[in-house]
Parts: sequence; structure tokens; C-alpha cells
Amino acid sequence: MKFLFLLAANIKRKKIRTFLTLGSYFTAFLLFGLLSAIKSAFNQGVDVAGANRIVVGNKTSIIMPLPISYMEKFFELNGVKNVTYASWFGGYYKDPKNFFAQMAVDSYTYFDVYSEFKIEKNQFLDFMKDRQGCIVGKKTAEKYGFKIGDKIPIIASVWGGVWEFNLRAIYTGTKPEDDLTQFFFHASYLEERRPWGKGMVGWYIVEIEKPELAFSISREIDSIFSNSPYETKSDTEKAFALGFVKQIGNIELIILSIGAIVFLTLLLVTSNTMELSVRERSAEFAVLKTIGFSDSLLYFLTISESLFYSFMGGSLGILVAKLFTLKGDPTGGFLPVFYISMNQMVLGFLLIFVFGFLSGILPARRVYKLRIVEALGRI
Amino acid sequence: MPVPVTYSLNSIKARKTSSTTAILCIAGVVCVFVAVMAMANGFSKMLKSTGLENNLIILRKGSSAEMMSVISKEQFKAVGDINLVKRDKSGNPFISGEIVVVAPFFHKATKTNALAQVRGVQTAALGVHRQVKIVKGRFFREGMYEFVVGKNAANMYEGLEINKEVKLGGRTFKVVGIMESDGSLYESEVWCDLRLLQETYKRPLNIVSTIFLTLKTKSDFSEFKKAVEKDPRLNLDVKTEKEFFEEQSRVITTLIRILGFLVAMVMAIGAVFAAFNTIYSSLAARTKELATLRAIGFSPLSIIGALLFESLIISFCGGFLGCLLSLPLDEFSASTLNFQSFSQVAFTFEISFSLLLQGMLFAFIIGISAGSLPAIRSTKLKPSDALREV
Repeated sequence: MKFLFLLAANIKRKKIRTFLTLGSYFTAFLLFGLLSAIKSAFNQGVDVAGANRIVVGNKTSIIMPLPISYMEKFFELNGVKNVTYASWFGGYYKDPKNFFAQMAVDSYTYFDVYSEFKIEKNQFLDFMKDRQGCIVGKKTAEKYGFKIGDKIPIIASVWGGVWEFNLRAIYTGTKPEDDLTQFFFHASYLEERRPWGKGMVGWYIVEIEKPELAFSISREIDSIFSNSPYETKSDTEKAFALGFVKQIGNIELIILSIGAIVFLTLLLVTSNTMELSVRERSAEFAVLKTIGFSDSLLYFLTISESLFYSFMGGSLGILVAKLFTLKGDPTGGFLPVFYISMNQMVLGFLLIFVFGFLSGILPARRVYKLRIVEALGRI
Repeated sequence: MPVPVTYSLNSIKARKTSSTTAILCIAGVVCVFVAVMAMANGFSKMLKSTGLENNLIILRKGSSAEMMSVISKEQFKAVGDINLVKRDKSGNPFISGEIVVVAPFFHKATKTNALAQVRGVQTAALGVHRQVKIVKGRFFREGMYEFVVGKNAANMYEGLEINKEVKLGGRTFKVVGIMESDGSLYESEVWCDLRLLQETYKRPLNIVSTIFLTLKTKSDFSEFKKAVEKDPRLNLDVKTEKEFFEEQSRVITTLIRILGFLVAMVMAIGAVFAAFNTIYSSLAARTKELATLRAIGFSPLSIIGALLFESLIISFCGGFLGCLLSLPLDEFSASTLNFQSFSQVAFTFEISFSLLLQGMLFAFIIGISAGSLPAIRSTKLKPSDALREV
């Protein structure tokens, strides 16, 4: 501790250099934060997928419907806890740019199966009483300024015309990765108003008692309906979500390669800067050694200096990235979530430590091995 | 007297680690910059070639995507009767009613079932989508369970090769042709007979999703639009193909632009820091050397010139290396999700000469901005002070 002033003096020695080194760490870890937010945004569907939920869709194509009569057959299966269904509505609010998912759901069962969505009891009862009621996620409600009781007109791309809904409830999530942008309304209202496609639903979600049963139950469901006019394709919710993420592109690979380039360069730069700064000060280190500083103390001091840079610059970078993500999705609503998870923060600080340490090792070794006579003899 | 060029070259050689670091930094940023731009350029080129001059697309009012639109046979006829539509010698209009659905096929790269856009058309479609050409095999015959597959779709999915049979909705289709269309969206699609697709997807036969048509001249657009709006039977939206496909790509281009730009910008700032840091440190360590140069009579200006020349060489090497590293990406074919229909679209990275020049320019900007300040500063010190510095 008593050598803190020495550390401080070294850091203040070349202000520009200190600033630049901090800046390098800052940008690298700012980027780290942004990349992890992008990654979680794309993986959102996978992260929230329940291991005990199976999605049952039409085998020919997910855009084709399934008959409502299947619901009872699912309940007959062993290991099935609950069943619900949903249909894609495919509309928009005022302008196609206002992008959030609307779904007609079986209001009696949907929120039991998706128990992670929290709705106030009174609001939910109001929703159940109103034929044209709807439930909207907190994020969408905030974005468009929807308040309980508002009439929300949705332009129906598929069914035509403008459909009016009354906002009865706003749901919140239990985890930061829960999608709070969706819009739900009664399937019975869709059924009543749409001119065709009656008696059909978009897809079923089957909740099972134990995740281990997922494979056998999926197989069983698909075999029951094989060779019927509406064959099914069942998958765990996770596999279903993962399929979509994979289709967007190999985001993991892009992020990993950018990250690798950035961090390797960072290591090169900071280690080189430390090296140069140490070389420049070799006469000073020689003097310190002459007056009795041990080799290992100087080794330790050099490493601490490097750790100081990485810690100050890096944590500021992560902090700014965190603040940036708190402001919300930069694409204006195309990403369902945009946040840096706790795990990623911890990983970031771990990396800060590792990189501070690695950048310091070579220069510190040079200091450790420095021979007084040579160093003082150098021009 | 100017400082000899060999001085700059030798000093780069003498400080191998610093020079390499600076070169690698710049190379990394230039490579990412070129790659992001090549991706955005490739995607927008793919959509541009999908929209043709004087071609229009018509959807039901309020529909934001082809898959969501519904147009009746009567409406289709009424549109075709409008006088402004181009006609062939026997008086038939260049108009094509199509339905668009998605179907799962096995995607080779991700080893999962991915959705491909399937378009049901009639032979008339070839007259309207003039960029579509059959490069292998033939077009499907009406009434036959046959597929014509876009070049990219054939590459992306397993089993969509010529003469192979594919199951869809309990029916077996045979792939009879491969089509190309200047890299447009259609190259990621599968085409088949309109009526059979309607049957397979249990759609009513008197309904299509979209109408494509060709106008006599481009300038007829607003007049045509008025004619459609005037007709009370036609509750339809008219757009030029160019306008429509640009709208369709909004999600993807916004994602690439905003996220790609964000990442590239932060990287560029980081690179300026890094290059600045390296060049600055290497100059700072050379205070004595530069003071010696001053002492033996070189003017400050010529020393600045030599130092700038040094950073130029470094940024040239970095930029060149970065461009070189990005070159294998040219023509690299990537595919992503079309957020309007959740189907796969393929496009190729486009690295043009001017993009490479931009990359080099980017490198020079980083190099000069990182090199100039330390260069000027290094000459401000009095040689006598600098030489005495410990």
C-alpha cells in the first residue's frame, strides 16, 4: 500500500499515454458489452424457451393451421399437464414500421402455460370479461404510450380492415430476457370476426410434466396425426426457437471473430505500450533497484500498473455499454430485448483482469531481469 | 534538407514489435469495415435486382407482405383490363397472379429445417419477371407436380437438385429446372404451378396473394395508381417493385446498418486509440534520436515529414493487409432470415474496387490522425533538453 504513490506517479508520468491506454481498454470493453447485448437479443427466444413446453405446428408449413379439435386429443396423452394454442394475427399499429407480434390466444389456458408472464389479478379479470380486450407487454405499452382502458386500432394485414381492441391488462416478466413486446387477445374474438379459416388455430403449445418426456411425447403426437389431412410437427420450444436463430445467420461466429480480432489487437497494443514505457524508464528502475527495491516488488508494481489501466478503462467501458443498453434497443423495436446479462458482466470483469495481467507479464519480466549496470550504462 | 527516405524505412524495421502492432491494428479495422460494407452492399444489390423498371406489385390494402395479402380473381381480371398495362402482340396483358407460401426444407449449413419461400405462378410470370432465366433443365409444365428451383435455394437446401423428388404437404414434386435472376430474391425461391400450390396448401382456387405486372412506360405509374384507386372494386395497394422490395428489406438492412455500424464505429475509435498509442509510444521512446537529428541540422518540418511518411507507410501496409484479408469474402454467399415471411434469403458479399479504396482511405485517416500529433509534439522539445532527459 505504501507504494501507491509510486504507482500514481508512474501513471501520471505521461498523461497522453495513460489516456490512450485507458481509451484502448475502454473501447474494447465497450464493444464487448455491445456484442454481448446483440448476442442475447438474438438468442432471446432460446433463453426463455421452457424445457417443458412442446410446440406443435402443421407439418407442411408453420403458416398452415391445425384443427381446433386436436386440443382434446393432447389432453388424453400421458404426461401432459396443460395445452394451449395461439394464432398469428399479423397486423400492425398505424404503420407497418410499428413492429410487434399480435397473437390470438386461448385466454383460459395461455397464461397458465406461460406462467412467466405476470398480470395483475383484477386486470386479468377485466380482460376475461371483455370480448375485445387485449393484454400488452410493458415495453410495447411504454413505447406507444398505451394506458389501461385505451382503444387500440390494429390494421389486420391478413384479415383486412381495422380491428379495435380495448387494453385491459399489461403484463410484465420475471426475467430480464422475457419478451415484453407482445400483444395478446381472445382467440374467440378472432374466430367470431374472421371471414374464413374458422375452426383452425395456428399452433399448439403442450406443457408436459417432466422435460425428459419431451422427446417421446413429441413422437407420439406426430404419429397420432400422421396420414391425416393435417399432419403435425412437434419440437421442444427450445429446438423451435434455436431453429429460427440459426436461420438469421451464424451470429455467434460473427461475434466471436470480431471479439477475437479486437481482443488480440488490444493485447498487442497494451502490452507493447507497457513494454515501451518500461524500456523508457529502465534507468529509473535501475535506480530503484540500487536503493534496495527487490526484483519481485518491482515485478509486482509493473503488473499492478497494467492492472490499473485495464481495470479503470475496462470497467468504464462495460459501464457505458450497460448505460447504453438501458436506453433500450438501438434499432427502434426490431430486437425484443437488448441488455447485458449478469453472466456477461462477470465474464467481462474476468476478461479485464486476465488482459490486464497478460499485458503486464512481459514488461514485468523485463523489469525483473533488468541489470543495474547495464540499465544505467545505456544511453 | 529533407530527412532521407531510408531513415523512415529503417526506423520501421528497427522497431519491429511496434510497427507490427500498428499494422495489425489498422488491418483488423479495415478488414471488419470492408466486410460490413460488403455485406450491406451485397444485400441491397440483391434487392435492387429484384425490382425491375416499370414493373408494379399489387397487394390487398393494408397487407405488408406478399404472404399476408389476398386478392380475388375478379380483382385480378379488373386490374389486367386497365389500359396502361403492357400487352403482347395478341393483346394479352403482362400480368402475373401469384401465391406465396413458405415450406420447410433441410438447410445444409445449419443442419435444420429452414423455411424457403415457395411461389405458385403460371407461365405468364416469365414475361413479367424478365430477369428470371432457366439455366438448367426447363420450366415446369402447368398441371404437373414440378418445381423450378432458384440457384441459391438449390445450393442451400438438401435434395433440391435437378431430377430429384421432394415431398411437400403429402405430395411429391420433381425438380425439373434451375433458375437464375441476376442475384435477386427469386434465386432463393422455389417456383411451381399456381393451382397445385393452392391445392397443396388448401387455399381457395379463386384467390391469389400478389399481382405483378409490367406497364407500357414507367411514367404511367401515377396514372395507373389513380385508375386503381378510382375503381371501387379494387381495394388494393399499388407500389413499384423497387419501392416494395426496399420496404421488405427494412428489418434486415436496419439490423445490418445500425448494429454493423455501431460495431464498426466503436472498433474504428478503438483502432485510432490503439494506433495512436503505438505510434505515440514509439515516438516518445525516440525523443533522443529525434533530438540528435535536430542537433545535426535537420529542420523540424523535415523531421515531421519523415515521421508522417513513416505512419503513412505503416497505415498503407495495414490497409493493404486488411483489404487482402477481406478479399476471400468477395462473392461469399451468405443467407439470412427474411423477417417478413421468416424464410431464408441468400445474397453474396460485394467487394468492389471503390470499397477497397474506401478501406485504404480509412487506413490513411487512422494513420495520419494517429501520427501527426506525436510528430509535431516531438519537434517542440529543445534538442538540448531532450538529449539531457534521463
